[in-house]
Amino acid sequence: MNVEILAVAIMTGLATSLLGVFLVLRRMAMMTDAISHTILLGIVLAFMWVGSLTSPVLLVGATLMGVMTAYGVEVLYKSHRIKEDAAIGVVFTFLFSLSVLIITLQFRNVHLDIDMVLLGKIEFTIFERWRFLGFDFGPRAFFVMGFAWLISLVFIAVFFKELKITSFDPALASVLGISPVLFHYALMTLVSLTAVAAFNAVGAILVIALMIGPPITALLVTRTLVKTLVVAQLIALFNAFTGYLLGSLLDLTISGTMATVTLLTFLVVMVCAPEKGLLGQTFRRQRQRQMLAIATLIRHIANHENTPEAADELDIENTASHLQWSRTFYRKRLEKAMAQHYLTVENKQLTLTEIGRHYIRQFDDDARLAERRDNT
Amino acid sequence: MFTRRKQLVLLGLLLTVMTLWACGTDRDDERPLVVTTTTYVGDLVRQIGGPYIEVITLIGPGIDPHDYQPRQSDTKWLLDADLVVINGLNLEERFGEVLRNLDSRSLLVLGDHVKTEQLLFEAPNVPDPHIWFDPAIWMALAPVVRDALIAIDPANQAAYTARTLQYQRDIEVFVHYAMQQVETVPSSRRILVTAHDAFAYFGRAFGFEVYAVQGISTSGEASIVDIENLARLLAELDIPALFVETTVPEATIQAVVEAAAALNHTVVVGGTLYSDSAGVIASGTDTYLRAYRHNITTIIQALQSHD
Repeated sequence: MNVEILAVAIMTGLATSLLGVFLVLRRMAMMTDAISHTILLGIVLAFMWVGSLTSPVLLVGATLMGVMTAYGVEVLYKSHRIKEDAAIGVVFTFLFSLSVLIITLQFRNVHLDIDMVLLGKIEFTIFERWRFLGFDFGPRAFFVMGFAWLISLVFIAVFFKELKITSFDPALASVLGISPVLFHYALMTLVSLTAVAAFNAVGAILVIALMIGPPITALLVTRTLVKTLVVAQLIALFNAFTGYLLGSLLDLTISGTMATVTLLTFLVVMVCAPEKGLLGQTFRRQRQRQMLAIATLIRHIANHENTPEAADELDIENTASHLQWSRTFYRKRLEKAMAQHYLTVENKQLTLTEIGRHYIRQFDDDARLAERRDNT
Repeated sequence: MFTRRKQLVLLGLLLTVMTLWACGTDRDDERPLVVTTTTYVGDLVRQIGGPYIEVITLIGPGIDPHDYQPRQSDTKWLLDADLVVINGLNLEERFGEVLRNLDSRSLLVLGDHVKTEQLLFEAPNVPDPHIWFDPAIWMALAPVVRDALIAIDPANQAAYTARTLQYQRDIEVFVHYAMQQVETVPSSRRILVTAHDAFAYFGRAFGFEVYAVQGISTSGEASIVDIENLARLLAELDIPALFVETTVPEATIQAVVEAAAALNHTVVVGGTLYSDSAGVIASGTDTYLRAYRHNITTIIQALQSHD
């Protein structure tokens, strides 16, 4: 167990998932994937300039290209000619293929690679320390990610209202005089800087998982932006912690276990969430179907009561076939309706109780009200 | 968010996990621990340290250094190591640079000890990191490793010195044998075609011209023109074989074979060469010299076969 690696994992999870909420809301979830590829062009161009693989200029180039990618996508999307996902697809492949072209034409004998510049191995982040005034504070990645997290927090706190409006209703934002363009560029700058810092700390694939996983999980159980942000942070914390412990105990690569836990958390919440969960929905749909069946049964009795064919239609044995229900389904609904005192059986004939009559009157009144509302 | 009972369950789980962790056994080996990156570096250290040290190799057989993913135990080895030896010259990419932050006394970067005039360059200021394929360079690095081992374990100085001399003789014997083998191939046929460019030092040491389909960077792609040019060259010089590598996929080389066939020149895949990593113990190619001998035998046999 290495507390420093755990700290880096948690801080990276917190910083990325915070901004990830806005990426998901803006349908730009794959932005990080695009940036993870296009930074190669930044590295290649910087290498053309300085001619050294170990120069820090390469990192600057990578970071700038990350920001450029985000701006490029934003410009294309703002043109309203193409949608978000297509904008990402175009910018991503264009910049990436440009870097492959330059490598093949100019540097085919040089090992130019993203891993040359960005570490991407969380296990080894503890070897890069932050030393200041002769004192060793800890892994540098922890402080870089912590800084990114703080800036994002301040940005979101100060401009919360503006971000909310521009993310959900850009048209309204324009009317209100809030420039969505400005906020989106500011947001995307933060996203790309955080993404590149996180690539260095934990590697590209994990960053995509960390940025998107907690927000989509949180969106399954929350309805307001504040709650989504808070729950996403908690889930990110949980994922980082559990993923780290798992990787540590089984001696696997930690980015792998963290990404796996992120997926598992999402799946569990998707199935088990109280309101929007698959289990809850199935259960509710089942209940609604049963309620509807009971209402149908009551309606059937009300329709045929005191009519010539009542003897046949309301015979306890024949009703199932008149309603075209299976015997078991019929028996269960009948038992339920009797248990709730909607109807009784007299001489093998189904008869509505006072409660049943009240139920059907209520039902008709509601329907009439609804009809009148629709007409006006 | 959680009920009190769930909190207790979580806490219990956490404590169990922590206890399990604490029970993990620590190293009970008293010998100095040397952690190395590639299989070749690991072998060099093992040859000189012999039974007096414990050697851990992080990037195992058959793994491209580019694809290496560390595990938690790798961090532990690095933190516990008395000495860390890496190839350097960017073979370990950013991770090699990060390791320089370790206490410099305990890190040996082999590439830093190769004379500049011995190095080959991929581009100005970018040295080719595959230095082990020049036996002269590798032999000159043996005393460097010896001195590093003596620094952490002075008690066994005599043993390290003797083993270094023995290993240098082993390399000399091998080079002599390899040279004799190479002589059996006509000099016009001494052309080595592989998938990626790991054999420049080999070419210089044994007088081979070396062509690679892909170049060194795995981010680039071999173009159709590259493949056709290479196929034409094979046909013109009547080269019977080209080679695949254990750490590089076979597809690009197959493309060259097919392009040559279109020019009515039959070229076969002469075999698999060890490039960035030696083999597993079971294959009998787990040391530097065994892997190199395998490469020489494979190359010579394939290039002779059409006589």
